[in-house]
Amino acid sequence: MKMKLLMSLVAALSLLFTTAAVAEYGKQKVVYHINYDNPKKQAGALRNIQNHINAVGAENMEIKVVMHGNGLSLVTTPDALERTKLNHANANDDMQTRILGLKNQGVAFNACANTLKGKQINRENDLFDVAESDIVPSGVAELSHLQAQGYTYIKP
Amino acid sequence: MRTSIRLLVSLFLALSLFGAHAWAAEGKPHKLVIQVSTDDARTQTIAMNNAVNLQKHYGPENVDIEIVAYGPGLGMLTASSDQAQRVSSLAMQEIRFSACKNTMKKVEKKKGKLPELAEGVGTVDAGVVRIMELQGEGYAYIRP
Repeated sequence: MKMKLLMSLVAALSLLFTTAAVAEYGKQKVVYHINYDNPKKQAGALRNIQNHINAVGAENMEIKVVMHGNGLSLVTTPDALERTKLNHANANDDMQTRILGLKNQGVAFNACANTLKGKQINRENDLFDVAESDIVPSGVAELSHLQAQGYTYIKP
Repeated sequence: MRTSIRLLVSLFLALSLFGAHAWAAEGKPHKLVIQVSTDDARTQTIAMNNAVNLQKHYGPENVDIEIVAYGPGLGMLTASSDQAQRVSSLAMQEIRFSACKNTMKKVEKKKGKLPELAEGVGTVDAGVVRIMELQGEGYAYIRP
């Protein structure tokens, strides 16, 4: 009985929270730009995104992370480092968990085809959970395009 | 009959001229402003690489790019910069460079004279204001 009460209270509260989030900010489309390979900065960026979702509500958001240049290190697995021209490969277990957590809330991670070519990165062998459909022809052009579609640009 | 054909032709010419003019006023379909506010040479190089790659992606006739430099980033656009030659060369390939006058005045106060800019570089009153205004005009914005 007590448990049930507690559960409905939690449900009611979370509903209230969601409603509050909507009332405050409405719907948002946001593109996050990552072109650096410092793992702490990258983890910080992912934290920013989670906080952003907490404030606005996942159901109210379209979030894309656009990675190009050294930013590809975010999804490059450590074992692949030697095969590529990157200086860092930051997709260890911890980073993978963070990335999956955001993906489960609807965040898309897009990688630049020019960078894959230039840094000799193989999508299937070197990257964590990057599908063919996650590849965009040019990271910078994608950033430009998304802003023309109404996305807000954030560079953490 | 002949007159009406002539009239039609001139009307057509006038209209196509008007059309061309309207297009030019509207500008290119893609517009991007790039912020350079750091003295890190690598980031400055990346900013110019990004501009060149975007031009390649869309074609120079389809994309309008302005690089705005201010604060510690101004150095990139000065004549004495290691990047000066590349800046001038890109300026001739339709990439616009804008130096912040506020920053230039600050440098003048400190060093006694206004910094000399690389060839082909223009100026704006305030870098941040310029970036804001361009975004207001529909420019996409990136900070490499």
